[in-house]
Amino acid sequence: MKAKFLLLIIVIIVVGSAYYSLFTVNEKEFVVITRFGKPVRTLDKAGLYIKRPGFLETVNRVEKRANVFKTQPIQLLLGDKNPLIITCYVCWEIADPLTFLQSLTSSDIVNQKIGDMVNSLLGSTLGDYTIENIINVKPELVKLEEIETRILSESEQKAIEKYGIRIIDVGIRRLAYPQIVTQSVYNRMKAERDKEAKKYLAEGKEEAAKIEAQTDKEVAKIIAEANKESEILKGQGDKEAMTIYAEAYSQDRAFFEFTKSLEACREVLKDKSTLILSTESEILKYLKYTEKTGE
Amino acid sequence: MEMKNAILSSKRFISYILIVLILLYIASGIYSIAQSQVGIHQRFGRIINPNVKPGIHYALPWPIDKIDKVSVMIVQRILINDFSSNLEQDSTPYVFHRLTGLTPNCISGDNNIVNIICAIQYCVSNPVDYLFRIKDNERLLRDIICNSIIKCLAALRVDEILTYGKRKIETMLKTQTQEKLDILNCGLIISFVELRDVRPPATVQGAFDDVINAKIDKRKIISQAQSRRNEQLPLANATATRVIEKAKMYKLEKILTAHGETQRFSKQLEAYRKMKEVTKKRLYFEFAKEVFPEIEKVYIVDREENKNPARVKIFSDK
Repeated sequence: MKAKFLLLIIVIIVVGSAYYSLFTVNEKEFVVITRFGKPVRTLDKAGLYIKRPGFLETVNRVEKRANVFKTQPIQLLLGDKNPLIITCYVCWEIADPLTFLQSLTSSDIVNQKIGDMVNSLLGSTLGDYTIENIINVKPELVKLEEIETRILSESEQKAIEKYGIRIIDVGIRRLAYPQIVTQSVYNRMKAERDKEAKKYLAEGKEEAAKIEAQTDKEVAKIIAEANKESEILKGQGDKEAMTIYAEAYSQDRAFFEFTKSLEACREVLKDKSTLILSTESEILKYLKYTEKTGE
Repeated sequence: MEMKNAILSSKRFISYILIVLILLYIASGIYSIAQSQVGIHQRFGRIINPNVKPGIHYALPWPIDKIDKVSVMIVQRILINDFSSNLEQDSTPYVFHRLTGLTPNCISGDNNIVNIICAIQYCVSNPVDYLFRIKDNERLLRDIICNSIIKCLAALRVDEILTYGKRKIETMLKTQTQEKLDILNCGLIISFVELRDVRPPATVQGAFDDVINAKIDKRKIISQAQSRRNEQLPLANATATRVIEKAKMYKLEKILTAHGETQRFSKQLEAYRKMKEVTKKRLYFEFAKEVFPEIEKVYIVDREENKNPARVKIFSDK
């Protein structure tokens, strides 16, 4: 019975010391072991670990995952004195848990400090650029990427030394003009659109005029061609007819003249014409003769 | 004796209960992974299997093993309204508006202001990165896509953004954002980016509409000219055909007349050759008979030998 009791006590002691000295580190965290506030070990791999039991050593857990936050909007001047409002996002992670623990102890404070740092870097960096480097229709002149890289590299060193954190990424989150500039941009946009609208109308009219001129030209051409062909046809007709006449009439010139003169007279002697005939004319020859003889 | 029995049976009862409890504890390690999920098996915090497939599995019970389940197949969507004037309470544009007094917008490469709303669909591609790399993945995704939008629009003309460039912007946003996500090991994959609403700010919307109307008017003016042309050309062709047909008729008539006349002439000539004088006279008389009655006045002059002027006799029935 006594032995049993002893065993129970041993078990309790073992379980208890295990409970107070074993701990796990998961994949989301670093652990810094401190002995009465003095750091002794940093654990950056997940797993099961042993420490001195209870208050003799303390487990400090530090976030391993990357954090992201937005900086306060800041209005600053570009190199060409254009004002611009910028907000950035910053993505960072703890690289040196010990430095982090010793310097600040809270990620909110880090956000604020890093935010201030990024903003002041923005102010000094953007002075080297003009609005042409921020927005431009030629993609190769837009230097936003370069600006981000500069800010990242310049803030990186400081952050790791001072706070034990590594800045992974800095990016522009918002670009805006101050109110007064916005208004003038609106006015310019309106003016540009009005111009464009007028341009379209003018283009339409020009195009229409072109089409009409072309149409007139083509109509004139069609008519002229037709007239030409018609004249040619008439000419052909005339020529062919003449050839036919010439062929026929050349058979007997005298007879031709006779018949033609008859025809001509037939045309000439119409109503209201007066004809003076000699009695010696062919038609009256015999008439005269009768008169003379009295028959 | 009875007492002893009771103690014995209660002892047995307790040990049964203990056995059941131990069995239950062991059985608590059984878990299941759903079809759309992936399990991450951790022992004392360390990952021992990052890719547990769907089905029933066993892990050592708490506090030794831990299973995290991540939905990988389920598509999630977020709406990026950071650059829209839709100032709903507590939305990002609203916060920005409160901080700066500005209506959120985006600036185009040719210095125009546009509002843009875009929708993103994404899902988890790497559950380990998703869980253990970034604390707030969705927030980072939002930041990166906004960054991509700014960079993208900063190099484009407003006309392209508002009209024909949408597909291009969507593709650019998708690739740029995905690149960044991969660099940061976010564990997310973007499946779809869609520009929902891209428009000029309300104050200048009217001017943009005017341009659209002007475009329509332009087309109208041109099509009117076209339709006039379509009327006039067939008309001209018709006139041309008429002129030519007339000419053809003229030609035909001329030739036929010539044939007719010459045939008549030939016949007459034939007769004339047979009896020259008679035919000639006959023709003459025929002519006279035909023509003289038509004539209003006919004077007949008789020339007496060596006498002038002639005496004139009139015979006419008119």
